[in-house]
Amino acid sequence: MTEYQVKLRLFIFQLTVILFFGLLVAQLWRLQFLKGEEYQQLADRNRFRSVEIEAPRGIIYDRNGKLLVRNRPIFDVVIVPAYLPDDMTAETQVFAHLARLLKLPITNSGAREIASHNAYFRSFLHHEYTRLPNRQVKNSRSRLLSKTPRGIKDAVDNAPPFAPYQPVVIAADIDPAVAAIIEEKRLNLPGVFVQTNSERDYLTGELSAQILGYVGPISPGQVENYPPPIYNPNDNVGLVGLEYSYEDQLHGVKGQEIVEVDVTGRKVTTIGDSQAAEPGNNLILTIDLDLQTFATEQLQAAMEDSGGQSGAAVVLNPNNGEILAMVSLPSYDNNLFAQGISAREYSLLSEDKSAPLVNKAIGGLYPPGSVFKIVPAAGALEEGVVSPHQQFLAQGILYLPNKFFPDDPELAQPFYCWYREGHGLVDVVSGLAHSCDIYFYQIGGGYAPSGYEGLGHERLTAYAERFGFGAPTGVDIPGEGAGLAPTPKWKRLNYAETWVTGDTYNMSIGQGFVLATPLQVVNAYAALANGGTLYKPHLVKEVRNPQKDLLFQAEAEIAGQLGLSEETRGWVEEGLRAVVEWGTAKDVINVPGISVSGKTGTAEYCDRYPQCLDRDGRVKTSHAWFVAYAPSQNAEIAVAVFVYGGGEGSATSAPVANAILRYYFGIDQLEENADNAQAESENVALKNFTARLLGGDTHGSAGAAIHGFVLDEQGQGISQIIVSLSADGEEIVRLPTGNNGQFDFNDIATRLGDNWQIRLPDYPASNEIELSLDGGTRYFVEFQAMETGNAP
Amino acid sequence: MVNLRIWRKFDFLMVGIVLLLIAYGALMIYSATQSAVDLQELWRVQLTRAGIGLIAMLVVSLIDYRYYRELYKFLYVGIVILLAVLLIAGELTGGTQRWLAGGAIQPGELTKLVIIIVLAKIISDHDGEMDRIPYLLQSLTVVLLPMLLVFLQPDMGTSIIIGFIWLAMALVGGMRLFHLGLLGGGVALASPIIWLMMKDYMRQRITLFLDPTGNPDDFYNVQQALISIGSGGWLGKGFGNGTQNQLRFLRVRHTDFIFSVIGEELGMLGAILLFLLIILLLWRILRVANLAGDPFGRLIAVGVGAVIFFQSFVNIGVNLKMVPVTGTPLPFISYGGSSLLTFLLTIGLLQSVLIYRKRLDFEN
Repeated sequence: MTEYQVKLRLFIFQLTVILFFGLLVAQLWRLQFLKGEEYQQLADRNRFRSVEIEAPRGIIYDRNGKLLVRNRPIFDVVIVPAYLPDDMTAETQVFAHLARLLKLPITNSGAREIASHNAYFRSFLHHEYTRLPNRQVKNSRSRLLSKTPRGIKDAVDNAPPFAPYQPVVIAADIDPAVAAIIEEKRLNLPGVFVQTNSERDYLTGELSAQILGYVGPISPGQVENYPPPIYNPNDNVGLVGLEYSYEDQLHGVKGQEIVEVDVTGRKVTTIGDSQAAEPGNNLILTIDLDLQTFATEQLQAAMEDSGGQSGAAVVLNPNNGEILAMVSLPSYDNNLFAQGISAREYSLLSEDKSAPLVNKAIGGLYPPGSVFKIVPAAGALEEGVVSPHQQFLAQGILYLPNKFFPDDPELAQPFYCWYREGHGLVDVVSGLAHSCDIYFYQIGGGYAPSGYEGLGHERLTAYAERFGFGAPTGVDIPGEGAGLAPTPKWKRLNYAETWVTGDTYNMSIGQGFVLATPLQVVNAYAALANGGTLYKPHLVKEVRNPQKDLLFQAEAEIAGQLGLSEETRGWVEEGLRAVVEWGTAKDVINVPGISVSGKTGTAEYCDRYPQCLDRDGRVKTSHAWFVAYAPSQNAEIAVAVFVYGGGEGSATSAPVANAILRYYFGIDQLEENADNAQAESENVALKNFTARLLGGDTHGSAGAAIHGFVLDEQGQGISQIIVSLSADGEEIVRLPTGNNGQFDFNDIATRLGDNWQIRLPDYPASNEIELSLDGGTRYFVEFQAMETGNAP
Repeated sequence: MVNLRIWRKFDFLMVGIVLLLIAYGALMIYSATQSAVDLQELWRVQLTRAGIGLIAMLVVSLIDYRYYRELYKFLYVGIVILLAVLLIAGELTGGTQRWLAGGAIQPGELTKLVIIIVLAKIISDHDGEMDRIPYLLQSLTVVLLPMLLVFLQPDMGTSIIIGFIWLAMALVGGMRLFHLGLLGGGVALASPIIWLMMKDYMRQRITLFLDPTGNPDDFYNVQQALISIGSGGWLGKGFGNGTQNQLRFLRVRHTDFIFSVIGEELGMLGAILLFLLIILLLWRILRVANLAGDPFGRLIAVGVGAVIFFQSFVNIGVNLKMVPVTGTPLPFISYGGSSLLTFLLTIGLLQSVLIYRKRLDFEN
């Protein structure tokens, strides 16, 4: 090759370089100028998102302002697979580190066959254990929860392919302390993130589950009932109880903001003005938590003593229908639902024979038994079927002649009184007082041999309906049963039989076909006690917005009138007064200084024939009822207590009602309180508290808020402990804790200081909480007493 | 220093351009890694390595390049053994092995350097005879073995680069264009047979290489690169302000896709500046080829020019979606120690070619 040829080829090389770079420039020009706009839009679409700001759900308080539900911040650990180290060793180190912190296996593939020999693994299968939040692996938005913990690596490996930026939930609802550690160590944990969410925290759990209900994910079939923009399909909504019926008030209005996000979808900055979320409105209930607690304890004890499998108690104000307490036992922990219940836990609850998920106070349909007797009594008096002093001879048994062979005593059907010896001569007052069945058979169904007509089934049903039987009361939670005030037509349709006098007899004593809920029963007595007005019972007293403005105040809503004369009412009431004075409940009810009226009921039922019969062929299983109101004149309170299979009403249910009445009228507390206060103050004086900041979430008002509890070693709230809030060392306010140890500082003006302290001035050895407050944020704190022995 | 005349021949302009490129690269690495906590210090690492590399470059430039002429057999056998050992080790452990000594050196990079020297020796031995097929085939055979070993690693990108080095050096060395056509036709005819002879995993590597939609990661990366560059416009979004870069939509942005960072943040201006620097560097390198005292030196310069040109074009071409995705770094700019060190060594080699071109020096 000549020198010239070499130079030529080198020159061609240079030309090639220029040509190829020319191609690059041409493509660059095409991308940046011809298609620049388009790519600019694509870049913007990458980084801008319109996101919803969750509205904090409304808070629920009892009638005295005690917190029943709050929103608890929860922390989920997620892994974004794309940000895990590429190197396998480094990735395994991240998993191992995380495994130690979360106490989760790295992988459990291969562990399956030896699962039952492995105590660590087996412990996850245990029902109780899985409720420890930081041990549970679950997708909190899904009910299809796996009981066995997936290993961290397994979770990452099972992530959807081709979506390396999609976060994978590794552990849901972890301990806030662990979340803090993970955040601190995020440099050593590439690809690991902590996401915060909010979850309903039902502070009173089983105590109020039947009333409050719970929230949960929208079921696929219901999505169209929760339309955007108020809802999105991933939202949690109220499914049961007040959470359901007041969903419109509680859910709030979502906010919206345009944010710049990074590739993982995490917010980097907010662009422009955001539209703040409006928190849901708060409910103030008619329920008195203390009374609810007390009634629950009493009913529980009565059930245990009597062997009753379930029970209900309702306390309401007869003058306006406000429900002060509504107990249904057994209950369930609604926190399980709020946290995303597992299929296993759900089936345990739903298949339980005592039906813990059903609110028996409104949804349980039971024969009312003798508590129904006010209906025939009032009807017969009002219709003039019987006069107040008209007496019937009650011999313990009444033979109803056969319709077609009235003269053949062999074919007559016997109707027994619960008291076989017979009550002798009985009028309306003693009939009610002794609950004489023979008397009510006759005034209800008449008695052909003596030519007495009685009230008759038509009028009996009509009066039952006036008292509210056979129709829902309209209480403001779902799940109410209508009960049954039977008619001949109903019997024909359901049994293909005609109505006979025996049916009227049975109905007159609240047996047979008639069915009622405990709420219907108490509401009927409340109507009698208040002078004849049937109110619609309700659980919500007020609805207030987060700024505490009153939006709605429940007023007494009239559902109907009994339409009884003063005189009729007077006689029935006198009968109910006699029940307590000298009748079936005479030794059971003891409320000094207060006159009480009531009615016992022992309603026979037969769940399993013939085990329910005794040797004489009589039904031996019965529900225990007691209904009362007090004071007898100008009643303030009406109570119904029901124990399923509880036996005698006077023996099982009346003592519960008695205790509730004594509690309500403050008979026992005066002395007890004095004792307790002294004991507690001595006890508490030794205590030394540790302070904790549990977390925070946003709420609507401009100021900050602090909610907290002062708890003893066992985690029970302590009342009357002074809590002080200071700004930069200067005390702003101090207040005592409430009955369950709760304290709330609301609408704190954050400009008063930079560093805020919350402390217990009476316990100077306890540590204090230091925090800087942001407006619009709600902080949750806790003081817990340390185990004794640590006390100074 | 020792000999002032040595420094007189030293191409300061070339080294100046290289320093500018390294500084440009470090700056963009800085911008590309600020949003990832664990990568924030990489620009410093790159500069430290550049410092070491520059010293190595100076040392190499002081060693007479003709010395390697004598060593070429050792170099060739050494690199082939190294590649074979890595390949076998990789097959045994079931993974791919592209790293040596715990990740310090990529033998693929070293292979390029050795192939340049070996080819320069073989082609210069037959200076003026490369138009004859036996010599051409001899040089091709020498290249095919390392190409195959690298391809099996699998590192298709480097394998192609080695092929291109041979092509460029053979052409400048005197290969006939007719033979080039013959070779192209031969490959085209033989390709179905080769395809059938290949094992499945080899075919998979080639189809993946040619069809990026088959690999969602690559497809995503290129799509984001186009968005980054396209949204950059004339002057870019400003240093440190690229949304695609800073919000990490752009991946492997401090190595293979660093050109997209330049395109996004500094716009067409920054990209053209880069192009000019590379063209300027290539001009200085080909100037060495023109000035070289012997065919060996000239061919070394051509090989170095070829590899820098080809890698730059392929890397930028990937960013602009003109070339299928290969893991090819942008010379002097992309983060990566082996690549930077290798390219600085080649620059040292070129300086040596300039310094020790005795014959011509006397003529001037």
